[in-house]
Amino acid sequence: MNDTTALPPRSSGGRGSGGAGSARPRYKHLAAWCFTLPGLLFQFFFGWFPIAVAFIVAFQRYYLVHPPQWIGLRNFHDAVADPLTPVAFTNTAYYAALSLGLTFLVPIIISILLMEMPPRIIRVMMVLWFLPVASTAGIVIWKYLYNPKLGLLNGLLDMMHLPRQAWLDDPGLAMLSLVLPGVILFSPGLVYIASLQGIPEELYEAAELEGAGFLQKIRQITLPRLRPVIAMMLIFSVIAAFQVFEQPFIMTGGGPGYATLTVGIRIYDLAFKAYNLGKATALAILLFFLIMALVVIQRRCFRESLDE
Amino acid sequence: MSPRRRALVASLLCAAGLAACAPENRPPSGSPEPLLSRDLSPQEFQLLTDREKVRYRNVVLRIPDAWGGGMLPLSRGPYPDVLEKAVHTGELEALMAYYNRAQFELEHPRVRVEFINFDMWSLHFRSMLAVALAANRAPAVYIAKDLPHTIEQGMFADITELVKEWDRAHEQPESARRDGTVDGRTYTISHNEFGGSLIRYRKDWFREAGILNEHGEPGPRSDWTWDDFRAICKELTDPAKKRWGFAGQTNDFFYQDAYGIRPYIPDRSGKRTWRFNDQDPRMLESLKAARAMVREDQSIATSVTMGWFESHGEFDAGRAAMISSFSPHIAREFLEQPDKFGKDKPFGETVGMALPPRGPTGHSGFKIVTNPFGFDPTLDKEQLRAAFDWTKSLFYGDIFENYLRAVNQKEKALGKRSFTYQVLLTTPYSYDPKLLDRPLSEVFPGDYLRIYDVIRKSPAPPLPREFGLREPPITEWESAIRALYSEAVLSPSVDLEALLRRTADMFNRTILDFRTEGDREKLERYYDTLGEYYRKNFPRYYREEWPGLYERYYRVAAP
Repeated sequence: MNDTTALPPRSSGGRGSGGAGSARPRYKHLAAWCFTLPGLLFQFFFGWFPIAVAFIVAFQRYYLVHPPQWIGLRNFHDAVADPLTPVAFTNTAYYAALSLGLTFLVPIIISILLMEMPPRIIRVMMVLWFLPVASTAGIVIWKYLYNPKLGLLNGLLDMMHLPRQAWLDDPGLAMLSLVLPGVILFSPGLVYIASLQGIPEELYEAAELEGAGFLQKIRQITLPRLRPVIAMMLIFSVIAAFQVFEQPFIMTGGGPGYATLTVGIRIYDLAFKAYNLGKATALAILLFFLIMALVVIQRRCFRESLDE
Repeated sequence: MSPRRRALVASLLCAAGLAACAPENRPPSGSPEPLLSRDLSPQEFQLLTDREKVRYRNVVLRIPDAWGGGMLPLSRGPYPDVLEKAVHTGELEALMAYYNRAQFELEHPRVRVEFINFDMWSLHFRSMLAVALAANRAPAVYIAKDLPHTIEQGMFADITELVKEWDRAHEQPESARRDGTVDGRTYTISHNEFGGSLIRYRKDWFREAGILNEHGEPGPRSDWTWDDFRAICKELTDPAKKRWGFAGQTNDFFYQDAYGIRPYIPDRSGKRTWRFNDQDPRMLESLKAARAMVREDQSIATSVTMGWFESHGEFDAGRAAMISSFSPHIAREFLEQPDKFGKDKPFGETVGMALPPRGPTGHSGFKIVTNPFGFDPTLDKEQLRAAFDWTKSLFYGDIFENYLRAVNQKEKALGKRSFTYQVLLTTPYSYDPKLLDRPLSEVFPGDYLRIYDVIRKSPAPPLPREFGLREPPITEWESAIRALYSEAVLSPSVDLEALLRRTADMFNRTILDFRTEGDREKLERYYDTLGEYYRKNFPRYYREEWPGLYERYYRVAAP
């Protein structure tokens, strides 16, 4: 069945076919290309091209000044056999779990609770969440706040007559100390609040008339409405958590011992300290597949909400 | 637009983009053109037309950061151009850089010097260099870090023949020559600033505590041992005043160097060349000692975040009596920041330098540090020779002297103490005494000059690389050692023996998992030479400790 007759004509203005009338759609395409091309080129050179190159380099012994040599799966073998690889992946998973627990779940709860507050408080909180986006500078400052002898945090503990903590120096506390700034510095709270504000008030009023309590309203109205946003934020958070680099790089360098050695740090060390770019790239590709697998699993779990 | 045309336009754009990103090719040094194929003297070159001069000068030399001067101002401001601005604002170093460039080009008609922005002293030097080399945009000469690993990776040109012809090669410190030599080939030359990683200490605190050296000055004795170091650290620690005896990274706090513990030894199984030395009980002792200083004595300020800059910050803020530092920096600060600790505390009377402590039988692991420099391996023969000439001139020749004169004149006009004195104190190369308007003995405190005499005479141990033996990559090695000590020192509770075993297993499976061909014979020769070095320089250590250590750990065939 041909139903194209039901569609509006592609060229507007009623000029008829040919001549100036046919030049307009062509111009439209040209304009579209002009606007899209810079972005596409940027994406090509800084996104897809490096990925393609990485898949080549991972199979090579890559020298900086000599032609690379093909060595098959040797880099992957070396990366897997490296005793620091499981340490780095375990630490990264631990960081991701802590990070998702504290900077992903907590903001959802806080956002829902905040919606019960007066609008003025909500606005202030949104501003506070959004202000300290200069995360790298923030991380540098946190390094000093954590100083076990002279840092502000232990000063506060002293004032409260609580035992001092070694923070970044304690292998048991170091990873948690890396995650904590994320709770305050930047979190998805802003997105949740914006989404929550988009839920029609009438739904809650109707639920209250039906006799629903606070928790019931959250379960029946808020969470289902937030699901697509939660699903999307979860994907972003998982990707960011597994790629973590700045926090351990600036604050601990992967220590004490290997307590905060993440995959990102290990890749950097292999590439730019040992100049073993092949092995570093192989490790990066393993991380790439791990993240991709996690995202696919998440997409399957949240398929309904994403397709809504 | 049809899909075919669209694809064509996209392909053309991609090709244009790729072409734009392609690195600039260095012009060939040889050319079929009659003019370019001849070697012209500077006099003949002067007879060429301007266009011919441009064509003839086709050996490009990329010099980082206007070495031998400074870069011209980035913007002209209210002046007609940046050169005028440099003239009117007293940028003598920048003007001198261009003078040096002109002089060098005058003497080398083929060469065109280009100054490029490339910060060799940046924390991110390694990644910058990696990118520059991969993009064929590296400077002609750059600092050679992580030797010999970077030599083995081909990151430096072989300059053996150039060094053979060099009339002042012998003025380089022995340790610099050894650092840059792999299997008999030379890859680096020594910088014109040498010194050592030694201890920077607060003289005023030592004076207060009555700790005097053999000259009656505040400071540790020149033969102080590691036990003395620990005792002094404890004595100078005062938690009430927030003062610690020492501040530094979580390393071994000089124990390994003092006791001469070699962290990797021949693998007698023959599976690999080396194995981690976890069998030597002193290795465990070093972990225990470091942990005891931090946790029991509480005389050391250390942390996972403590690095070079942080420890210097602790020292400058008056919270550490001693730190590990680089000797030329101390001499430079003495000249440039005389009132750093206040008007009533002149730098020379407040800050001292001492060599690290020794072991009980006099062993010292102190080693001269010279920051060797290597050359871009992609340079052709003519470029390499030009780069070598420039570097020699920069280290002790015309460029060196011109630059120092410019700095001297500028700082004299501004009423400052010139850092020229530091350069001349710390250079291993001989120089024209006329560069000094007064002798160094009138400039520096006596103890600074004495330390430099000792540094100058410090022996250089043989290195495995000289015997054709592969060594573990230094950066990975240091990172792993730092991880070992940070866990040993900072963990609230740790089983040090298990930690050592775990670390040994990791080292053996990764960093040390290689074997050099014919290593047994090479190892034998290396340890024989090392024994000879000890016999000559540390006779007591050689008599009392070396034979036992050699039999237990270093002899290649099992006893």
